[in-house]
Amino acid sequence: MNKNDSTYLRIEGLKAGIDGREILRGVNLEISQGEVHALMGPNGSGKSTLANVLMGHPAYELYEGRVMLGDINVLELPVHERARIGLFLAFQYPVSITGVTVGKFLKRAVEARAENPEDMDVSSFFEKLEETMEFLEIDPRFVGRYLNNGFSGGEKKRMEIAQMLLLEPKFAILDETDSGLDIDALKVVSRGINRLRGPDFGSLIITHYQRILNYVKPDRVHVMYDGRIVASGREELVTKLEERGYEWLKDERVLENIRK
Amino acid sequence: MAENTDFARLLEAVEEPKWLTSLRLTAYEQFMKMEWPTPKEEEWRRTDITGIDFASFKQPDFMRGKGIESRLRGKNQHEDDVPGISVRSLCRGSYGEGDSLRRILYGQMNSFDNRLIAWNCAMFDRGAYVVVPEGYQGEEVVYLTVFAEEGGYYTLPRIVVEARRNSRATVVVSFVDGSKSEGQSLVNGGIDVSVGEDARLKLYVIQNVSANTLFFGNGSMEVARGGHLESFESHFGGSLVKTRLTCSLDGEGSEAYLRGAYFPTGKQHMDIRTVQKHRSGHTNSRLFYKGAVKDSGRAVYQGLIEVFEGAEKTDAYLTDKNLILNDGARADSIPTLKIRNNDVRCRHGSTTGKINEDELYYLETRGIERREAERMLVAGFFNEVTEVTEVTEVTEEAGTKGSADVAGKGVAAEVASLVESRI
Repeated sequence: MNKNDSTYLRIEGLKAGIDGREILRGVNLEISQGEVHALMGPNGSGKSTLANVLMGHPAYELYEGRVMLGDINVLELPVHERARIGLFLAFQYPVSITGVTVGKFLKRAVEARAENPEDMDVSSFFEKLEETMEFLEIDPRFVGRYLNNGFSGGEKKRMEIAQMLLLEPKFAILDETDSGLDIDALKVVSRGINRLRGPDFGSLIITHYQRILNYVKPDRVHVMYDGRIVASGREELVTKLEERGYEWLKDERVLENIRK
Repeated sequence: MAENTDFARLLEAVEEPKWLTSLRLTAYEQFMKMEWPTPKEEEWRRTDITGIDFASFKQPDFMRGKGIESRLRGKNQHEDDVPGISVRSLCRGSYGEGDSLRRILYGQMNSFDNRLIAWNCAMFDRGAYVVVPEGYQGEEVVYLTVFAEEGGYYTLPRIVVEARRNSRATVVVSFVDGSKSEGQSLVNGGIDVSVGEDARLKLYVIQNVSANTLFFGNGSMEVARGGHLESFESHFGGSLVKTRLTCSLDGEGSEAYLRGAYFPTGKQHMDIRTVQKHRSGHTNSRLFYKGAVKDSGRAVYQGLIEVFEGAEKTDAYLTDKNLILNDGARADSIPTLKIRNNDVRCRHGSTTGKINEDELYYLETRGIERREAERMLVAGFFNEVTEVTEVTEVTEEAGTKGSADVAGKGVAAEVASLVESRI
């Protein structure tokens, strides 16, 4: 894929679940590079499942549909290949990995993403790493610490964003990156997302709250309910949701079913 | 094995002090009376050596084998009036009656509780004696390489390390052989360590004999008042490995940080035992061992914390973690406490599990292939016991307080490459 060609991430009729239980019941969604989309919805509606199915979590089963990144069906690729073609997931609960330092891990991840790893310049990588950590107000000593080991919730989330900035994905899915963050951390995280915003970057911000969307203005907002996208719209939809709550969706869902 | 008279004649030909010959003969008498350990004894319950024909191993040319190679590296920044570290042959030295070596060996050579230890005491056939003089604060690091005889021989090496009062030193011991030739060999080694008052000693042991060799080892480390010992042992070689490391905190306020790693693969069987003996008050020990098992590899870890009656305010910790890399590999971890004082703090724990799937998935989502992700996680698992950094220092659970130094980093790098070559 040519880096300059703007592309899209298109989810088509996606049905997936876990242990034979269908959670995603036909999701359709298209994000173009250059756009930031927000995905909202109540607990249990399938948002995190969508994130993990897109990335290829082994516990989830795929029943139907496809996910096209340009002309590649990412669902046919092993997890690491999805990352290498430019898909990124910022985890809701990043794991900690003992014995693997932040510096070593990030270097390896950037190498894996690079088209020609042998061309990677180690010193410029560390320069960029240092700059990124400064930008996200992460203590530079974290480079030598074991990944996420003993990090606070906010530090883990910043580390996710740091990875995103270093890996420069085509599409990033941010799974409740805002949850559990205080206002300062939220601002830092938002600054990170906004930094990548541009024609080569698309993202799907999964969230429960309007809060993060005050700092990262979405181009489109979608609402998920019971495994489907039941409403899509502009930023005003967020305000509407804040006012009426998710209960209101039940009617909207009825409406959509009628539309079908 | 030689008869008593033959053995006495053998010893006559060796230029060693009379007191040592007499210690050997006493040990030899015991050796002749004892039986090889059997699975009826708790310590040997999971490692059955009754099928081993010890008599089938050939005796190497007594005291004339390849021996132990020693090197000193690093700056010797000690004061002019303080001599440097010395490394001498244990078997050919002229040590007097009053020499501290006699005191150290006398203690060890009269208290063996199994035939393997008695065998080494009586017949050790190569040895090194490291003395760190009183007050030595230089930067020299002692590297000892023990060569095992190849091709059906037994090797009985013995190393004595004495860090005298108020000294500071690092010793690295490697056990190697090049045994690619026919026939199984056997190594039965002993290490005696004496850490003097207020002395600080770091001891690293890397055991990487060939995968066909039988390896037995007995380490005995004594720490005097205010002394500080950091030890690290690692086992990679050997078809059957059976070791015991006893750390005795003899003096008030002494402390020990013990780390270890073992990684049986193929059909290797490794049975590692540690004993933390708290004999005096206000003593502190932290033990942290890790093992991985692969293929049909089998690991047994037995750890004992023993607190004696007078050892009030003892603080002891033991943890052993095991990683099972496939079905068919097995690890048993048996930590135990024996406490005869109420005013103490002792904790132990052990875990045995597989590679964490969530961690694998996380690495994969960052573009790292599953196979490589596994390698990173196994290497990382061991890094926690080899990399002694500021970071691990703050976590009490890790119990790996200590300071990284050049020798330690070198050992960590060597162990990391041994680990990676087996994943």
